[in-house]
Amino acid sequence: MIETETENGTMTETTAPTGCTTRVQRLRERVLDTTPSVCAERGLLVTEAYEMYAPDPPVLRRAKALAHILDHMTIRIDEGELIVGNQASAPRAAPLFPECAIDFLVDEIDEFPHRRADVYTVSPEVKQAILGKIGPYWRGKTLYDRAKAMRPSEVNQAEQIGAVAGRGNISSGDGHIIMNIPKVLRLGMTGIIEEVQTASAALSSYDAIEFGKRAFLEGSAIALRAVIRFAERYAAEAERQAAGASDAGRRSELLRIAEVCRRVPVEPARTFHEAVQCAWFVHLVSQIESNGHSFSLGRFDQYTWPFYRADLEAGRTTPQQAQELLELLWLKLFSIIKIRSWSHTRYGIGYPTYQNVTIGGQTNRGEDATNDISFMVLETIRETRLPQPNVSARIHTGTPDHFLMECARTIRLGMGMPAIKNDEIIVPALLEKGVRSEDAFDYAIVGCIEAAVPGKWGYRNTGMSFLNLLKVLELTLNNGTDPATGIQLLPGRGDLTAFDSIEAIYDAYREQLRFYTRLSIEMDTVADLCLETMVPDAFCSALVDDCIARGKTIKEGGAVYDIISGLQSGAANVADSFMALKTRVFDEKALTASQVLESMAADFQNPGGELVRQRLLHAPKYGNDLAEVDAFAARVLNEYLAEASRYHHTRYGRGPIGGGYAGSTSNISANVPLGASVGATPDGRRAGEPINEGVSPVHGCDTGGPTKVLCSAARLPTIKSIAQLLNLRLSPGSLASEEGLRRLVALLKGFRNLKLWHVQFNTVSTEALLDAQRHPEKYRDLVVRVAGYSALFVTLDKATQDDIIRRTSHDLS
Amino acid sequence: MKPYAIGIDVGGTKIATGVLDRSLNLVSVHVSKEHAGQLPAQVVDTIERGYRAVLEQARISADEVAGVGLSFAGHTNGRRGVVLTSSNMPEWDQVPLRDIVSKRLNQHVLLDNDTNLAVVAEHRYGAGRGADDVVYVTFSTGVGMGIIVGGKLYQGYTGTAGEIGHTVVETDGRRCSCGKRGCLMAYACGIALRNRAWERIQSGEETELRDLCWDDPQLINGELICEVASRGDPVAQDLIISTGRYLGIALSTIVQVLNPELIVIGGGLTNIGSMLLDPCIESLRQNIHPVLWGAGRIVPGRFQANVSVIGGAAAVFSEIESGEGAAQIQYVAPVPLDWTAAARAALPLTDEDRSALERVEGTVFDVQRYSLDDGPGLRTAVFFKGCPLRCAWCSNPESQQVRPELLLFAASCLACGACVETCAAEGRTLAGDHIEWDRRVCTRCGECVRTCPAQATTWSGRRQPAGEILSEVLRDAAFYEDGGGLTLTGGEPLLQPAFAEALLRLAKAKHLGTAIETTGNAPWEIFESLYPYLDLWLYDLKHMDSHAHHNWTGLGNELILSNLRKLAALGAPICVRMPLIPGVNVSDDNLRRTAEFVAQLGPAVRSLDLLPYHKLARAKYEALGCGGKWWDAELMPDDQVQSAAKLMRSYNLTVRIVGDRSGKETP
Repeated sequence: MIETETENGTMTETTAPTGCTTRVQRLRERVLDTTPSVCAERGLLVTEAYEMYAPDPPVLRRAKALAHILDHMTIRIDEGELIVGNQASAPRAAPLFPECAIDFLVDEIDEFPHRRADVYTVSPEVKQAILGKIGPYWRGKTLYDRAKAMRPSEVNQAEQIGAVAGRGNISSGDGHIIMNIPKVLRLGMTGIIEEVQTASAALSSYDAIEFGKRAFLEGSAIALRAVIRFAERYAAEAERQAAGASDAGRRSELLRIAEVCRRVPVEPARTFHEAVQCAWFVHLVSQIESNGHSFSLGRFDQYTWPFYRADLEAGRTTPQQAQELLELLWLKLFSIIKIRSWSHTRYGIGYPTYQNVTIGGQTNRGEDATNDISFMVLETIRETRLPQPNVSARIHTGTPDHFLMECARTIRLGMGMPAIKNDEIIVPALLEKGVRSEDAFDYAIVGCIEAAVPGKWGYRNTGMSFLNLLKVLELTLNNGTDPATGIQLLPGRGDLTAFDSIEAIYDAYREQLRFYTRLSIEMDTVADLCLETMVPDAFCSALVDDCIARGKTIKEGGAVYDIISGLQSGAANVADSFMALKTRVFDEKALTASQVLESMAADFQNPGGELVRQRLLHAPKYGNDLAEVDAFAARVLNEYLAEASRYHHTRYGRGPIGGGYAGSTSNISANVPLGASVGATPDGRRAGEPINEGVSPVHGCDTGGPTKVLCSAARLPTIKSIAQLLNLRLSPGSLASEEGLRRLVALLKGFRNLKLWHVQFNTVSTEALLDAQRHPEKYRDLVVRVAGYSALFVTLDKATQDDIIRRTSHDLS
Repeated sequence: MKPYAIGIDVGGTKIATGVLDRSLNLVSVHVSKEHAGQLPAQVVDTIERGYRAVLEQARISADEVAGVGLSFAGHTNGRRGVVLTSSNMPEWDQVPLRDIVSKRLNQHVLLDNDTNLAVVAEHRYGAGRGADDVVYVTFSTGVGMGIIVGGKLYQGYTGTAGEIGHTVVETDGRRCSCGKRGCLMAYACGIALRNRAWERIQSGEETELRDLCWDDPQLINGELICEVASRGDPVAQDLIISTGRYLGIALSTIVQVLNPELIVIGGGLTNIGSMLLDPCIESLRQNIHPVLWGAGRIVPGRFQANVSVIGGAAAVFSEIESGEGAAQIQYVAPVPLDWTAAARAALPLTDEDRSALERVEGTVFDVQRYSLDDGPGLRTAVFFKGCPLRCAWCSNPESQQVRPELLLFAASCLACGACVETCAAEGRTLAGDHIEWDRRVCTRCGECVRTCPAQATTWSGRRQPAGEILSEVLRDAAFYEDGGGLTLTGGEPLLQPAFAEALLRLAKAKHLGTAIETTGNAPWEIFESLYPYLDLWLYDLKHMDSHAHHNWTGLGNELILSNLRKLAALGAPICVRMPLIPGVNVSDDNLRRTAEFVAQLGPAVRSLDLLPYHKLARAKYEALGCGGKWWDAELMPDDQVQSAAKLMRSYNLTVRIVGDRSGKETP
């Protein structure tokens, strides 16, 4: 129930909107009722194909494997569907990508149904397929095996102590990309195949380098043709079902589906229905081709709106029909799911697939680009209430207030959507990195919060390895040695008692930070080299400019832009720690260095430890608009950026603009496992507690309200980033009236004026969350934002749930 | 009634189109700069494009639009809907623009010049609300004037009344663009200022303007002259002072001919501030008949940006409302105020004024950013220490004494004994799991605050200069865009009037919205002195019966009620706030008497806000060592709050229920 204020000031109650058609409601119920499972079909097909095409070069072998999968996988058109295409043999079933990693599938197979979070059922047949066929073939041959073998032992040790983490890309592949969907809408697969043929014809037949490009272009053509056949299978299936359909209405729907699937993606789209179906096919195939996540749809409202407008003008559709198609697409996107090892899952809880849809913003000439579809996407969020896809709304100084109000109205539902992105900093940040002006204005969001130019940017603009800034501080204060394991990779300058000023500690920290930054980049280089040679994706590359013209996959340097970043976590804890040491030990001398060090070692359980902790805890904290402590956070991030900018990645000098590193504080739910490996710290944090998320303050430390949090974050070097994460929680009751929504809009405008990158809001009340912990069955559809993406609350493990509950709540009445 | 109106401003260099709702909020705006030098037909095309674009942007249909108000910068005849001439666009000659646009847009259209529409906006919805005779004067590129007489727009016999710019201020003076000599416009408007400055540069006078205009007269503007003048350049100073004098002469003419209750001033030149307005007011005083001095007020306009667009929409609503017989604006007898006092609020501060104000000190106990229930938008609340009342239910007991006080919060206390050791007066003892504190021996040295590891002991209240407080307030400047700003609360801000005035004037100079929450218990003179700087008064009304008021708060309510009446008569925007305290003031009788009283105050009262009693203050009473005084009443059930609101709404009042966060929450 939502309270609304009516014109004459009386409060009335209205039920939550139930504008969904019965069709959408039925399909939504079905997908929400499904417990995710594991599907072995893709795993079996890819194994077969790898055996069949063993002699081919990797890129061709994989293209043929994709074709084999698309030609033979189960396809379904379920009752009531209008948008068709399934990722696996059952809804919400995770396909297998044994080429990426196999050990965890075999080792954890009995654990999947019993995990603390992100549970999957495994049928006996699937278990048999994995243990009997897939496992034995792939053991020792996967991407993960190769990367592990190549990694220097120092890097492995750094990961072991928790200073860096980077298992994601070597066990699940790349993802984190937006393909050029508008180009497919415009040219169809036929047009793109022609481009491939033209590029092939221009290749030299003897030059060694040019010769290498043949495999990629041939693979592209094979993959693109396979997609056409895949769509045709759906057309045929629709016709088959239509022939047997007793209901005339359904029969004509099925015939329409058949017509649409015969048209797209082979030819250019003509109608809104065709555009939506085409976008879905392209997106779906990329999800089947490779195992990454964060495949994003780009500026969906921009490329679909012309079709919608033309349909409306021609009287071919009504707003209601178009709205229904959008909601059906949302259900399809929600059905996408992947499975990861538990160690990787911990870093991103809640079955996240980080499929981002960007709306709003500006045209490439800087005019406001908000259109009907932007509003309809917001409506779709409100109607379907699903945690996927992630929606990002771009705002700028010319964004109409009406759109901001509708964003606020959507945020009020408590799903953390839309996340708000700020053109006023993101466009300049991209320009600063050498992106052309018209491209910078055309940016869209990948995954959670990172900005890229759609269809022109390589994989993983963020999402390389994690760097645990707080762990590095713990090492610094212990002479470079990890207290838990005794491992010392870089000798320090003594323990905390050896320093005579905060600047001396900072200098020692800088040395350690530079060292671990380099290790994180070594880790990335190994991952990139393995990804390039072992799992090149011909389909995805063919749809990213200028891979075809250059004859290169993305990983070989095919993309127009290729700037990446790791994930720097814990800056707020580090700043708070420096500030506590500075004030309590060096300025006030209320504590001695040895007192602090002993208490840290004892996790404050020693005699007098709690008093030490209280003094540290009450030092000024980041997130309260206090210049001195905020400056520590900015210094640490700047230090990282200065160091990272000295390095290049594997595509440097091979074609793309960029070729190096930027900053990102995106950290999904990694703050929980990253914190688990760090002992007690001088900010008063106990051993094992989560570290802060992104650039949000440490939980409970922001006591002055959200405007102070935003002012603190505004002191950080955001312009040098490629992503910046900030979460705030507001009480939902406070947003009940229109006045409350207007205040949220004022907050958003302040966020925009302060030139912050991203903000998202959880608006679920603490009571509701506690109740959901106790009675998960009542909160099946409770969506909350977990650090950059939304997830179903009841699917999270208890630690992550507790972490969300602890996030400081800010009233917005 | 249709909810939107569209205002279109056809200016010399741009066409601005806006959609406004009935509260004159700008829902959407579109600006086109394509039409310079175009023929009327092309301008009409541009108008139509802007109209379509703005509807599209705002996502409303043409059916929801009550009409279009077209503002034209030039000579117009509003009744006939015709543009007579325009000095910027010579092709315009007797063009029946209203009917052309009406046909094209298929909408009801009103046409008038920009100042006539601006005066309607200010009169109906802005700074001129509640007054019957209002004049709007704009000092910008040109000088213009709109007139409301007896609550109605006065357009004159041929529809061109208000051409104040062409009254002669110097016989045989400078040539005006109209062909005459010595018009005000030839001396005192943006264009005249530029021309006069350029002539003085050409004549070889020594002035910094020469270096800064790079031999291009187009680079000279009011801002530049003002900047140079503030550095002491005699030519620039002379230009501004003489402009101010001429404007003062024009104002004296207006006052003597029309005797308006209010003169609302707007336009870019007013941003120059006191350098222009001081000589203007002085010249007004010298040139006015003494009997008229002090017989009205000069106030800054509410609508500065987009005033013509807003004016167009206001005219549409205004026409409909008078046509539909909506309640006439109630006439409120003005309380005469000194011209200069009111006008000063509009002025930027001089550097000396500012630094003097920044040094004024006061005692506050908190500066709370992101305050939500203390006025519109997002606000920063400054809590003044000290209060004349002693309400039994007070939620901020630490606000009552003016002097700083020590608090000890038991919940945060670790009972570590650090304060026991450090207390020279031996006032603290460790009693097992808590600290006992003998306040009688306390010398208030504050050592305990310094040594407490958990900040369980804290100071409440500190002397601070206004400048320091304002810089904290301005840290949130990014969030005040939508009507937010500074709220003075407490305690009672009126107990420290000089400090309050300093904060408000500093805030106004930074264009912040200002509000005050007050018990109303202060001499009327203090209200008068703060009135010009306040956008909103949150005025507490606790009980209508003076005897009961005395019982529950320690003072009677006569002064409070009388101040409230006077304040409402001035037309100050007021939200009356009433705490709902079970057993004290929630009887039907008191609710009715309160509602009756508030209803009689007239349109100055924007709303009656009800604040249900809450129990958040308990820990603060205990921390102050006066736990026994804590008022442990029952909470008022929601349905009773609702029925109280319902009863009071029956008096035709806007009644809002404000959440239970009205007071500062326990830390």
